[in-house]
Amino acid sequence: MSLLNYFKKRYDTQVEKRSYSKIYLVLSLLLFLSTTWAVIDEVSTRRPWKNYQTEYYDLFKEKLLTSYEEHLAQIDTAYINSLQNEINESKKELESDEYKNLSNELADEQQNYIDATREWRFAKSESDATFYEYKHKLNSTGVADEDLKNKLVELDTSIAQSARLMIEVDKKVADVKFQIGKFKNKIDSLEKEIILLTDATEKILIRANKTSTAPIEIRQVMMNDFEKTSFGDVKARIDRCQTCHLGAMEKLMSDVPQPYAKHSLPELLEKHNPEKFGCTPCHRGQGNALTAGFAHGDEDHYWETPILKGKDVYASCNSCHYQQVYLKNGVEFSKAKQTFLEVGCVGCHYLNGYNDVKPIGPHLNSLPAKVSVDWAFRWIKNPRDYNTQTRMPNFKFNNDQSEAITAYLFKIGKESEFKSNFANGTYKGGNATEGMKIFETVGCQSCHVVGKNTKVREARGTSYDIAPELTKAGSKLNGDWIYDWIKNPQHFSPETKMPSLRLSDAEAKHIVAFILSNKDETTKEKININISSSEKIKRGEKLIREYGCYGCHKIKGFEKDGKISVNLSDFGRKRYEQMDFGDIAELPHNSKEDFVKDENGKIKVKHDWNGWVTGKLHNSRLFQTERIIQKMPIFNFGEQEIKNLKLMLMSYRVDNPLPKYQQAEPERLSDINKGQKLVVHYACINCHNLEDQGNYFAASLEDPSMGPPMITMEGAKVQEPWLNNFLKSPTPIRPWLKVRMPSFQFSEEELNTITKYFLAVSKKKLEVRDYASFKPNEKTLPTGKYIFDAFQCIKCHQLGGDVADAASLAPDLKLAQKRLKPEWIVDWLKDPQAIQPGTMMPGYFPDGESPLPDLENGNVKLQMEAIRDHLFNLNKK
Amino acid sequence: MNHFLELISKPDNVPIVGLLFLIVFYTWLAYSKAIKNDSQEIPEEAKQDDKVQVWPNLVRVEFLAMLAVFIILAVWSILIDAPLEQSANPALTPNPSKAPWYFLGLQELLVYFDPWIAGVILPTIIIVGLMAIPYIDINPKGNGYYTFKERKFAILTFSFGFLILWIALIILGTFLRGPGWNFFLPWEIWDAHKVVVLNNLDLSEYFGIPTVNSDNTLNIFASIFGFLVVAIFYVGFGLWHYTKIKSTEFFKKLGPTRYWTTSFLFWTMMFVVLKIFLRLLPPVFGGYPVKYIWVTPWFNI
Amino acid sequence: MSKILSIIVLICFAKLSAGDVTGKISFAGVAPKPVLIRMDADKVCKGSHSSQIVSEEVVVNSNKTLKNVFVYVKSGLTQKFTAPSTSVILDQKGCEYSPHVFGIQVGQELLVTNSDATLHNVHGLGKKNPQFNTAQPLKGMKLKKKFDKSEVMMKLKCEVHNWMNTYAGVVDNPFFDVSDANGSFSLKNVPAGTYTIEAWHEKFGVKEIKVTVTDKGTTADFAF
Repeated sequence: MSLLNYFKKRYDTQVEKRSYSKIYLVLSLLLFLSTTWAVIDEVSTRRPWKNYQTEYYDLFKEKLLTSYEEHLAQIDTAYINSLQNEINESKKELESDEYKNLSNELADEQQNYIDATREWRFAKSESDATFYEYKHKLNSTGVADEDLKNKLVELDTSIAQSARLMIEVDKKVADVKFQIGKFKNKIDSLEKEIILLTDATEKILIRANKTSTAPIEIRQVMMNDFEKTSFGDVKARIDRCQTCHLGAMEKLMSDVPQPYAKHSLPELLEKHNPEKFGCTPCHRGQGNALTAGFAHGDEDHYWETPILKGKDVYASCNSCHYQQVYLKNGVEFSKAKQTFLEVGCVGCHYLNGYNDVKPIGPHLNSLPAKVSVDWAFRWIKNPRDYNTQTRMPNFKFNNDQSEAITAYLFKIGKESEFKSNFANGTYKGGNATEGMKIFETVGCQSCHVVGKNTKVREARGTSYDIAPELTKAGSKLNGDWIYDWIKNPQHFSPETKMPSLRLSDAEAKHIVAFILSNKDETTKEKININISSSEKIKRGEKLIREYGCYGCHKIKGFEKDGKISVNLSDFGRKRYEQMDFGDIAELPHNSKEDFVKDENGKIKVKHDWNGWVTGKLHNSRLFQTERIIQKMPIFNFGEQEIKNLKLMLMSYRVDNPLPKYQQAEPERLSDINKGQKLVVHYACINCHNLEDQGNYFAASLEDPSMGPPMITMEGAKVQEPWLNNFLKSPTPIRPWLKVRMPSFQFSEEELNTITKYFLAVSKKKLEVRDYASFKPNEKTLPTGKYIFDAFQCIKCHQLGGDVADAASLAPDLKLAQKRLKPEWIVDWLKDPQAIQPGTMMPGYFPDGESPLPDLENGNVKLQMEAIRDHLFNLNKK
Repeated sequence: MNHFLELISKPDNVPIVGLLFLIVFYTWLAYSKAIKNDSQEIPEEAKQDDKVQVWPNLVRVEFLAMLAVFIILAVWSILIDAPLEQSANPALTPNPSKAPWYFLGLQELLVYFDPWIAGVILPTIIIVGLMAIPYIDINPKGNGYYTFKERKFAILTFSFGFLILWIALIILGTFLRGPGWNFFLPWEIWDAHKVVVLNNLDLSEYFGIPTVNSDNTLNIFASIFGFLVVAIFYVGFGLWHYTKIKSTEFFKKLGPTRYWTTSFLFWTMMFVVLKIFLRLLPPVFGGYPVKYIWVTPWFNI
Repeated sequence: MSKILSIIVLICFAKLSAGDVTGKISFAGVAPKPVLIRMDADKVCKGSHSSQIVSEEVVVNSNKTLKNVFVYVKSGLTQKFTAPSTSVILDQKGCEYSPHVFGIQVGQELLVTNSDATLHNVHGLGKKNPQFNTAQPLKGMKLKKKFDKSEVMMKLKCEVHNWMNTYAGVVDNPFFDVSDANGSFSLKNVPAGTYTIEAWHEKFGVKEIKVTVTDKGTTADFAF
């Protein structure tokens, strides 16, 4: 009120008489305060990293000092003390008169040397000037100045004289120094030894002391030409993360809280040096921001790429490693990509770089030969009714729709020209028990599950199988078809990935008997299926087109149809506004879960990217409403697969770094890319350990060493022509294995892809080599033979037909010449454990030393080469 | 309600909330002074004949005002960061995409007119019209004092054009237009998935003349009909007023060039209002909103 | 100075109050039939034995106790112990590992020797320690190894002779023993305190008991 009165009073006062001092005082005070506030805000409040840095250096100093103490404790103090005593002893000699005289002499001579040098220099300089003058006069007047000429001669003599003196004195100095050296050399070498012992430790202390003067400043990594803006211009990226995360690269900074702690995966940083790549290319977030909320991007509502939390960070691998399936340091990524390829997302969804992926389902052009109308109808209606682990999703077709599709498929099936290679009934005569034994030994169960033998499935850990479960197959298939199929799968389906296991007629018959003995025991209600009406057939064709069945199955009449569903190439950037949530209620934004299903089965999701995707992967038609019909079929993904697929979807964005920041070997990667896709398709890793993946089959064996071998190093190991022949028609290398390497009947192109892939994994290039022309060194052959016998290689290895002595669990060495690369044998002998951890092959040269030091002067490399040459000579006899 | 509080407290919207109060205050101030002056014989300002020196009396007040503004700006910039977003991306536009607040009026016109008209023609006419005011306004009154009675047309036209067609549309665009440029009441949550009726008819179709023929070409009669409506609007209103004013002393002073310029500008402003009403009012009475009055192969109005 | 003093005090204290933990491993069940080992595959092995060899997997002593049970202090120790400079010797003789079960301290040297005139290889199947696999083709060869991490038990086997295996208990304290032909063991000079002691047997798994050690020593009997 008084303020109001004050202004009222002012208003009534004459303008000239009004006083402004109070208002001025208040305003200037406020201005002062606000300016001070602005300064504090600018210097401190908005720069929290300054505190972080101070705190970091304190912590770091502490760590360094601890490490210093530890190093100090390891130093042999007694030894150093003895050295020091020795130095002190020696120093006593320096007190002697002889030494004193010598040092005085040295000082004198050194002074003499300086004097002599000066004289020489002065004379030289004078001579140069006189020479110039003499020449100048001679050239301008044409007359030689005799005085100058004489002076030059004189000067030259004096130069020569002082030079002589210099050399003399220099000799004397060296002489005296040598004499002094007798006293000092010992001390010097002792001091050097002490420094050598304590230097590393002292350096830690110096570093610790330096932390108190470390500059408090912004640390940034500039990545020039890193990416393109949305308008196509090349743009740099600047990461300042290390301004707060100072200890990211510091080994000592473990067991400290963020932002000071070291990176959790230092081995990843070795290949992705943050000094070059920054942090945001993998972690996302806002690189140039300097406060946590903005830098991590989760408090910045507008930042499109907030930090990836937890395992989500592996989504970033795809920005550069989009050509690879398996990454050594990215298990999460590898698993996710494998799942993504195996479940067949790209059958319906278009995605850059996935056009070469083969359809995951069988062709449906000759169904009548394989299954009954009744089975096909039930399968189309609900595949999981027959097989809970199938990859085929549920389209929720009603009876009418299922009938129509069956009608179309059986119509084209009847037009099919497929005929079994064998007369009807050839399959008969097998024994189911025998069949089961064969089934379980030759390797069928590495892909197919029957009954309770689910160990491979459990080892894979997926909710789907990559080959049909055969527990009820006896009711699905007929004997004639099975016989034809297992004898030669390519006959029925040239593109199938089912390989031939080279079964004999008898074996095949047993297996048919075994499969036929597995009947579907569940009772089915009877249904009448009418598939003859042309209206039905037409409707079926329309439905197949509408639901895109041809994305996974080859179907006649749909060869030219394209992918039916949305492009996923930029799916990771899709925004909330572009997603429809139908009738699904919203979870609060701060809830930890993306997807919640309460006890009544009511589902709630977060209304954001994560929530939508999680919901969709749980149930493809979750967001369907009465008006918005969704056609995506319902999969049956487990929690892990949902996580995997989410990670993959998160990774698909079109804003990748420019090639400069991607991997440097595009050709090698392209080979790996093609190879790994093939590996997923043919499920090589179900049996083999390849690039640290797979080897699931081993889970079904009592002795895992009886499983198929590891093949990661195949490119470095075997000769390309051999590999080619082996893949075309495998011949046993390890006869003690009961499981068979199947004949996949790869095309020439595929064989080429596999060869290149193996080479690329071993960082080698495909080159034409004449392995036959390899000439063993004749001189060392006897040595090789001697070592070969002394090492008793044939205790385990076979040699042609000879049965090995003891264990007989190693490959035939007579094959080596045609099979192995010469340089490989040497690499392998060096340290087998390093190449294949856990191998039974022992190392003969531990720590690079030979147990036979008398041979070849103990040169390990020569010895190994001698063994190799002996192996390559084995077939000559 | 939380949603509304969030909306008005957004950093972007601070100037607009401020504008709301300032506009009301200054409009009230001007009008109240004008009305007071109009009720007296001599304006209030003319009564004060005791003049004071600019220095120091005015300059020091201005200096103090400068201090005050400086303080406000300093505190404002400390408390609220500039509302920056991520770098623009043509493939990923924000929803709603809003123009800077001072252009929201024009953006609102985009709802009623084609971009070419709302974004180019109308702003040009506005600027040219404002530039023309000194030349077409021959009324010397109201100079140095507030008055309403002596400049009724000028003040009313300006108030209407500025307060309704400019400020009100800014407020509307800021607070009531949400995702998809859909209309939301202040307490409604901005649902990005809101679906609204988007049915409308051309004016000619109201009168049974289809805009397009069955073969999807433009119906020439609809075009002619539209032209007639626009022509009748301009010519009809123009002539009607002309007949009323032509014999007055004022008209003679004004001259035909000034008159017709003013007339065109005024009726164009009114035409904008007419179009807005034709779009907004019919649904109130259960009819369809009017899409276009005049459809031609080159432009639509 | 204070450090030295505290060390002296510690040593005296430890000397004053440390006791032995002794005990027996009794076996209640019926001794399984001995498993015969056939060494036919390697003439050298077969030739080095005149009598039939049986597996050492389960050895029940005549007094109904178990041999080859590894006993060690599992937890309760707070001090750190430096490894002794003596090495543990693992010999391959007559195509058998001797001893069949042994203990070794972290950082202590393991010396593997081959006393047979045939090829042996020691394949250490460490789970925490890195695997190693080294051949010893000549008689009298020696291999030295150290282990960085405690691991109970680590299997070692020979790939050439599939019956040959041995188990190493790698622990970070010097208080361990393997039960002898009487089924008894003794952990020497365990500092006074309360500890968990574990006994491990190749076939019968592990048993745990808690003991309190005083300077008079204590007993800890296990029953399998």
